[in-house]
Amino acid sequence: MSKFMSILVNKTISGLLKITKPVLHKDGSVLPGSIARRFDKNILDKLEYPKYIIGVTGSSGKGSTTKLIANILIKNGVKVVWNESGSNLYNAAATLLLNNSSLKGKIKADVLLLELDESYIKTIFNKVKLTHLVVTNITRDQPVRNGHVDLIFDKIKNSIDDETTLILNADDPIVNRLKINHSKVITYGIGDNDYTYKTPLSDTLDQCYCPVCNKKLVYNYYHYGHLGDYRCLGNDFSRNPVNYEATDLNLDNKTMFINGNPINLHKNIMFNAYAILAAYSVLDGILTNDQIVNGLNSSRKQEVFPTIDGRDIEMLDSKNENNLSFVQSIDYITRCKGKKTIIMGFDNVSRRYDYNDLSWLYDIDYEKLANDEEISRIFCIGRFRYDVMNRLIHAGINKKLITVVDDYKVNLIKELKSNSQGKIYSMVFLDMMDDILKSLSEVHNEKR
Amino acid sequence: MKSVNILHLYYDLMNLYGEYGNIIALRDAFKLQGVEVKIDKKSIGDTIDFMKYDIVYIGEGSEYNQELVRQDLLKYKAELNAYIESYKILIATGNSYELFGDKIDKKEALGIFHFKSFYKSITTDVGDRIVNEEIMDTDFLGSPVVGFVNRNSVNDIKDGYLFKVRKGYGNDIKDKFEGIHYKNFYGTYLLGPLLIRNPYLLDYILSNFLGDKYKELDTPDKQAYEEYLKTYNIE
Repeated sequence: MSKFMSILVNKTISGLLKITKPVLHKDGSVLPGSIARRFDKNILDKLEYPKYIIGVTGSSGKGSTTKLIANILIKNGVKVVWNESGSNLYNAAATLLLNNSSLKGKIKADVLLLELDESYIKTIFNKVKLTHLVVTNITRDQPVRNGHVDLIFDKIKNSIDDETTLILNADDPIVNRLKINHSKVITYGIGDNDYTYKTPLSDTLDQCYCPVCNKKLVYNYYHYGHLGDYRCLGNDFSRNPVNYEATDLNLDNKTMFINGNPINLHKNIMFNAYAILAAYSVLDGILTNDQIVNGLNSSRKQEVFPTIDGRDIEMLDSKNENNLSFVQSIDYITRCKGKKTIIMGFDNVSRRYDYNDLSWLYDIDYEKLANDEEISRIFCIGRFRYDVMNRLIHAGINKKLITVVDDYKVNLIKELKSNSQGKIYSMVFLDMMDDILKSLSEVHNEKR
Repeated sequence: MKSVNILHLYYDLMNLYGEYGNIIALRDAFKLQGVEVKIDKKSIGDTIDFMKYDIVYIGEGSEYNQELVRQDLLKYKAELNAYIESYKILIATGNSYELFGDKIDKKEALGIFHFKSFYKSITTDVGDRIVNEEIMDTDFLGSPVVGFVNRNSVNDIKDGYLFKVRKGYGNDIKDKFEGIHYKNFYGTYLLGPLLIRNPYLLDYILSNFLGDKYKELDTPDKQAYEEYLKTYNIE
């Protein structure tokens, strides 16, 4: 009875929130699940699950990887229940699962697909076990909440059931540690290509010693951060062999091969190559190769950017407190041709807590921007704009190219128009994106 | 003074929270003073001659990495002791300064200073690590030191501390003093780019080293520091 009530309450509250959304502005992804749980705190253990239960976790890229997997499945007519909103904690998962269950508790899907926060895998999947778990990477991420990578690794490791098939990014030695003593493992990685480095971009590597014998790992090449092709000289631990390898990656042409099959990228940025590779690796066996490739290709969309005075503005996802997310954005910007203007900054370090730890600014290799002669200007905005400016100066970027903008909601557009050239790349934190997009739409309205 | 030799000790293991920022703070500040800067990076497996350096820096590490370093560092006890006693500069941030005490948990540390460190967790709104924004005062600076901590250990240092706690945690959470200061040894739990964020602390270390050749300069670090104090109404 408690199970029935829990599902009913969840559906009812979700329905009400949907009706009242235009007025109350509550998205309803969390509240129903939290109330439903009061009727049955173990409700998620009592549902009838589909054959495939796929989780996607990691420090970054789990949202885009989940979305890609969902799109490919949906394009192939598979009924998928997935957390499209990106809410990845317990109550959000409960809301989603109960809304997609019959009143008897059967989840109405062929595949359940969840982006999972590393800390909540075990809470959500307590008795029920994931059939597949994709781990995209384990990197510095929200240290205030997560501590450090060893602790993130432990959380994931302790959440894994022996029966779950792990789909691991073997380029990341921390992720790859999960294969030790686990029998069902599929690995993927990107092979050597024109974008790899023979020496690390910085000393900020998170796993440079063998996790088995503690000898220093030797790298053939690095992609970025600690991701690359490594091995222990004592043969205790290695990236190789991998089950799914992306070869001949060409970011400019947006092409690569996975185990010899030609694949088109959606965007010329490394994390897209990783998302595609992860999706391919987990879906091989659930779908045919042709189905995956067709699904991938039909998921491609032409990017449309907002503009200001005819200049494109590209908003890049840059996660504060996640150095390798920034490194990929920086790498992308430096690879783009033509004059460029960059906006950086944040009002708050995190959306989840009030602590303002600024140390992560020094884990990001901004130094690479110092060699980009096509940068017209970098605008630093937000509450910590002087700290961002200072970081850029220490990275060797010419001070004359840096402008600190006070009160960005009023002044940024004016500065962009009068004091910069070329395509505009925004690396601001999520907390500012809405304001910037709003200012831009006001510019468009003025034109009309 | 034409050059300064800096050692980034265990650069690859003790670099958890933007610690590299302290190296570039030293590098850029000495350059502005017209001093040639040489930076060496050493870690497990390297041979280290401490006495050839003017400044040794070591940052925070994970508990696992701190243990790897502890095992490696013990063999340098006599050299490090001589280095510190001869007034050479050693800056240890985060949990790295625990390595210079008698014990970490139950394991032997260098024993150059007589204190013990042990693991401790607390309950906060974000988890069980000791995490906080900190404001510290000193006897030797006219302005406060700001920073951040993220650790899961404490120590029993009561004398010879570095900072007085204005806001945040002391050596053993509730202590009103923090870190350790002896001759030119500076140890603090404040993590990451401490010397970037606190340009007057950096100036103090620089002026001690350069003597009357030290020039006081306006730097972007100082501008960022003043703006930070203004934003948070810190006096």
